[in-house]
Amino acid sequence: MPPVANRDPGIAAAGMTDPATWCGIIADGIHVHPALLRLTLDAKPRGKVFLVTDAMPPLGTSADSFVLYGATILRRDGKLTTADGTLAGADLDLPAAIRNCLSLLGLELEEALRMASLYPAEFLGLADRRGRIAPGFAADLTLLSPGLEVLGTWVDGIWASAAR
Amino acid sequence: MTAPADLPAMAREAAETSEAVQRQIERCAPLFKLFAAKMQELRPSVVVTCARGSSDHAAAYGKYLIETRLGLPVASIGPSVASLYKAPLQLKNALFIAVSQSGRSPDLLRLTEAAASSGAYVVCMVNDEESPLAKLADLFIPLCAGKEISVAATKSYLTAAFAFLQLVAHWQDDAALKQHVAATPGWLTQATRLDWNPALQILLKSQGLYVIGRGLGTGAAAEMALKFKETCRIHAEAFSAAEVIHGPLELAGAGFPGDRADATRRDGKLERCRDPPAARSQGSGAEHRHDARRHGRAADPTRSAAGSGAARRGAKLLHGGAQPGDGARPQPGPAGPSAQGDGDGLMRRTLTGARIFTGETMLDDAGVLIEDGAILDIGKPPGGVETVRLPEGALLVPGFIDAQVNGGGGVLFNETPDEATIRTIVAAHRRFGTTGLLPTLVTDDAEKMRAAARAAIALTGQRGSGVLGLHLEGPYLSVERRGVHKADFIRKPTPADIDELCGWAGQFPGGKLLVTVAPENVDDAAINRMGRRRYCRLGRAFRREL
Repeated sequence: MPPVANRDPGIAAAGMTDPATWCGIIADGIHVHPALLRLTLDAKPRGKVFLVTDAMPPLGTSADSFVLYGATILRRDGKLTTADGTLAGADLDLPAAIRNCLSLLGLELEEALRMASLYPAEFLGLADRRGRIAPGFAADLTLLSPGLEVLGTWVDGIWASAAR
Repeated sequence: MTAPADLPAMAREAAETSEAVQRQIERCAPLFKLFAAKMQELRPSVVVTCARGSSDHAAAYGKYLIETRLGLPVASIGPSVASLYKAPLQLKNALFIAVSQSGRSPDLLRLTEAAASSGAYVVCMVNDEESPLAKLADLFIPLCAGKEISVAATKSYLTAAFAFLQLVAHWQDDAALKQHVAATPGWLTQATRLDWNPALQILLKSQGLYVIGRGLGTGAAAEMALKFKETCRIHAEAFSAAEVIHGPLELAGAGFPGDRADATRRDGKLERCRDPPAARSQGSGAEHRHDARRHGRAADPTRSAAGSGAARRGAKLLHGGAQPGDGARPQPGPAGPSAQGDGDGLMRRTLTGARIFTGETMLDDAGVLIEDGAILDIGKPPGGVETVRLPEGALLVPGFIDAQVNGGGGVLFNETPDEATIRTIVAAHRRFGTTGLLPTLVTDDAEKMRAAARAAIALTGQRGSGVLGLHLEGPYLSVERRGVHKADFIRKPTPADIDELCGWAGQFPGGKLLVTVAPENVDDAAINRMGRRRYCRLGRAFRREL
């Protein structure tokens, strides 16, 4: 994606300034600087910014590298990069992204949670069945500890613990 | 496909179903179009079916299909109402559907005559095209099953159920359902290639069997039970999954060896039959279950909004009953809340004890009532329902949804874009709270894209899969700003590419196909075409409804 430049605002600025569009953000504090994330959140109407992980194979493992298009991608310092430093996906899970929204962006917990469930459901056009706890919705639920660690999930009413 | 000649007629004929439904698709397309036009004009307020035996089981499938898809009430009228009781019928403005293999049963003919003379629009789905029943119809739908010699019906039952699927797909003019119609011959062929022996081994020693279905699967369960009796001499009974625990399960506990109940687990519905009810001990959970059974009648399950999902499951039941991947379902883990007790998520229960974030507000002291994969209610927990106590201080929130997931659990979707890879990725992300995701294929060649589409289409809408569609991140990106995307594969979409994408887009019922494109590489006409189907989102800054 082209960067925002003075005389060439590009798609990033278009996304920020058009109230009808959604922005999916990788809130690892690396892909987009926290200040620019804050700017995006302030520019967009509420509900139009949501979280994605852009996750790669290492998620949920202790691996320190993986292979993409034959090239080794290194996992270090919370980043996934090629040997020359090009970002190749994110070393991020959604609870970490939510915690970053609280600590880096100063969002309220409720709003950060919406960015991980309600808003992506609305973006995908699936908000009639997903993204809320309400009658008639799918029993897709996540159980969090007071410290926002995931204890387990229900998908279509079927429970799975997050413990290994 | 044709089975070897030394097989019994029943097996040979069952294996011919794929060809038969293909014939029905080709031959009946104009008839169903005519039907859809007629329904536009007639707008019936009620649908009545008339059938016996296997055909009636096909009609039971049709009943749920019409009720869940079109919201019209469907009733089966016993043929004896006309033939024995000679009751005058009031069927003005009704759609009347008679289903039969032979089309010669006198009481079916009497009821159909009575319906026609009382003003109903009469559709007859009949295999024997020379039969008197076919001639009574306002619209005759030939089942196209071919000659059926075996007394135990196979292909005539399946083609009748399939005729209902076609009828509803055309009536509703639903692109996704029509895709399922087109795919069914292939599924049926696949079903004949499956090795059913493991299930048969368990049945060898069985004398009694419950076949459990629900909603769209109810008719199939009844047909299976009939077949077990008719051809295997096994006393089989069909039950609704919603009702089997309220009484019949007591019998399963006392007299049914566990392996027998295991056999019914092929449809993933009867896990808890493995232990006699009295032997179950999960602390308070067992008590609650008894409680639920005692009060169950008063709290009879209401149909939830899971209708469209169930419709897809039911459509797939046509190719064999068991859900692909049921075996891979995650089981309750030791660190989870106690007394989950319901591995298949069907049973009605209330989750309480945690703070609840609804997506709007935080609630304390509330419960979430769930059943059959859906949320029924939220608020004060009702009495008489099993309660699951969640850990104190925990927070129950809407499951996380991730629209951009390339990998996880050690695997990369691009490396092997198949169902197993998606399951591994979903399982890894589930441990981080994600309950729905779009497996995301980054820029790659056409074969990988097709494999990814096939796998994601197969899993989307499948219960518990956690797959909400497919995200194609490329290859229609910018070469200059490609990041790690491979330059060789990045290109402008051809009209044929757009056709293929649009074809896939219709096959994600309950999910979405998401395509990330760079505007400099995709012209407005292509974006508009994709956008009309509401599945195209632009760039990494996604744009809505282009």
